[in-house]
Amino acid sequence: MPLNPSKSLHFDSWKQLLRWLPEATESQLMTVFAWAGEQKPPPGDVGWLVNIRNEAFERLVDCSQDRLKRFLRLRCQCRDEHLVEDLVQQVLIKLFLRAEQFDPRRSFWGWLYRIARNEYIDALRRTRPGDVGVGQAGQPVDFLEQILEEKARRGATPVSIALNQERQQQLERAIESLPSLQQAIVRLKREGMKGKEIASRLGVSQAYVSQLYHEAGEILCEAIEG
Amino acid sequence: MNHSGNESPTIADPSVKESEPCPRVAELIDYVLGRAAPADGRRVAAHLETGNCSHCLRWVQQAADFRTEPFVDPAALPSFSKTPRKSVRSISVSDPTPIPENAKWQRQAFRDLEDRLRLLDET
Repeated sequence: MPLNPSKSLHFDSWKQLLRWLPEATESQLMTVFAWAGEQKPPPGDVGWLVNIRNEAFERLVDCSQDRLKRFLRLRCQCRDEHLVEDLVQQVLIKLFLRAEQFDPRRSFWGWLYRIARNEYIDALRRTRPGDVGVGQAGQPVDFLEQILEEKARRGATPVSIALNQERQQQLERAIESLPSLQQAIVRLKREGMKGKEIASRLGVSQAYVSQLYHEAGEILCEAIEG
Repeated sequence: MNHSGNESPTIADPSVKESEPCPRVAELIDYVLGRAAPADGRRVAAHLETGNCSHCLRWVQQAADFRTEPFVDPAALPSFSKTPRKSVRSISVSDPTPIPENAKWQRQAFRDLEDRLRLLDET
């Protein structure tokens, strides 16, 4: 029985799909997990499907936990280790429950980071109601503006030029690693195009452009800052 | 994957069987949400009932916050359904950090209370 979790993923059997999972990227694991949750196989195949779904999620948990912790500590400036542990589990449970919302056209990590940041902001609001505003939770400003501002501040010493070049290369590499829709949004933004124009050119909503742009920002900041 | 080996050492209890490998996280979440197949649910419940796998207990506690319907098998989770739930943070005796007022936990506590009252009414 042919199995097609996505346009680019095709397998001849459950066994083949299960064997392939260790090679899958996070985005592919998420695709398989979401796909498996929507299938209604014949009774004899239910066990295989559940096994593949659970295995895909287990691998996602394994590969996400440390990176999520690092994100919460460094990018959100969460200093409470217990809270970091709780948040990572809450984020992964949300991932489990919202699998159908995953869009392979967006970066898996950008999406996950956005859920994590929102969870952290919610946690701060619960503990400090009315005290969480802009700038809390390490909320990023527009990353491209940030990079350009820093460039201007540094002036043109040989060291700063070399640093800028290095960061520029890191940025380019990180942009190239984004899914194509997100890459296009970032490139058009860099050309100075407004969200509304980008939305009409790419045939998606303006809100979606904004969401994908900010999710890309998380990935690009991480790539540059380490 | 068995996570029990990473936990702090506990005194061996001869009545406790050699621990099974931990269920996968998806199985734990399905179990808490009442979506697990009966056989899987029994296996997860048996693993949790040993009570010495804080890794799985922590996942179960977190997932319980996402439950929207009453739990289908309260007897299978005595340590969660028969006693008021505690935050995972309160498990650590050495951690003196005060637990903040938390609307999410409060809502969950009320939901658990309602579930238990409903069960009492039914019996």
